[in-house]
Amino acid sequence: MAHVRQQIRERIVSVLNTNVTLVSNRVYGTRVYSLTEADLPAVVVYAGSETSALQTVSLKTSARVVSIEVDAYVRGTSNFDNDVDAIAVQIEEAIANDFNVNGLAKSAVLVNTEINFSGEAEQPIGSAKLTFDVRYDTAINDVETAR
Amino acid sequence: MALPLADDLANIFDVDEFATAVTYDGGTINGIFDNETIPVDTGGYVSVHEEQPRLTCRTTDISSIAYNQTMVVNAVTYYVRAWIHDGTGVTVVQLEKS
Repeated sequence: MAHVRQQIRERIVSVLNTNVTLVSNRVYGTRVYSLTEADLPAVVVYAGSETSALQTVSLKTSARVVSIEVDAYVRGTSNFDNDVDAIAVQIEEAIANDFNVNGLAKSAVLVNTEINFSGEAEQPIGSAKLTFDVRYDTAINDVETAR
Repeated sequence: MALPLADDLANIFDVDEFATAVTYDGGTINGIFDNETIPVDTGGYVSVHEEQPRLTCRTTDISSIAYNQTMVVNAVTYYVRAWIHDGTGVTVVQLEKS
């Protein structure tokens, strides 16, 4: 077993790979190396910061909220802004339809979207960073099993 | 004594020296074409490596430059997107690959 946070991240990568058809299976988990023209359009998923607190003393339950960040990248001479939003539609709906992350979480909710564009290169590049707060519980001494 | 800058530019932008012939505005101009690969930061965790086409040429050769004009370099068509005159007779043109 792995940390529930890892299971959540991997589940979201899998869900997006199946449902975000606009990127043709170019969904990467925790990619650290740069993308190239051949990699676009693409989606990259990261588990960012996480907060946790003791929810119940008797059961020693840790209530956690992990920020899952989903970055979408597109490239094109026109409609790149619309393409970013079209991919965001597929990302948001795919995660909404897996609201409890296959039973690993209590909820997965979009809390922030940042959209950026760049005209520095040979064709414009657009990106969107969608941040989802994923709430889940574990025992404090068993972080590999979701409660 | 006037500096022979025009002569210098003519030498620099000679196809036998550093320049490439570019089809532009119904004719041919000479310019130095750079197509460096750069990391583009678009706000995500990772950058995107993309080529950055730029043409450096004499300002007098592109006196009527305008957005969306085309330049053909090495059989590749680019659109003019922006340009910076450096004030000494040289202009750098930002290009977008078609």
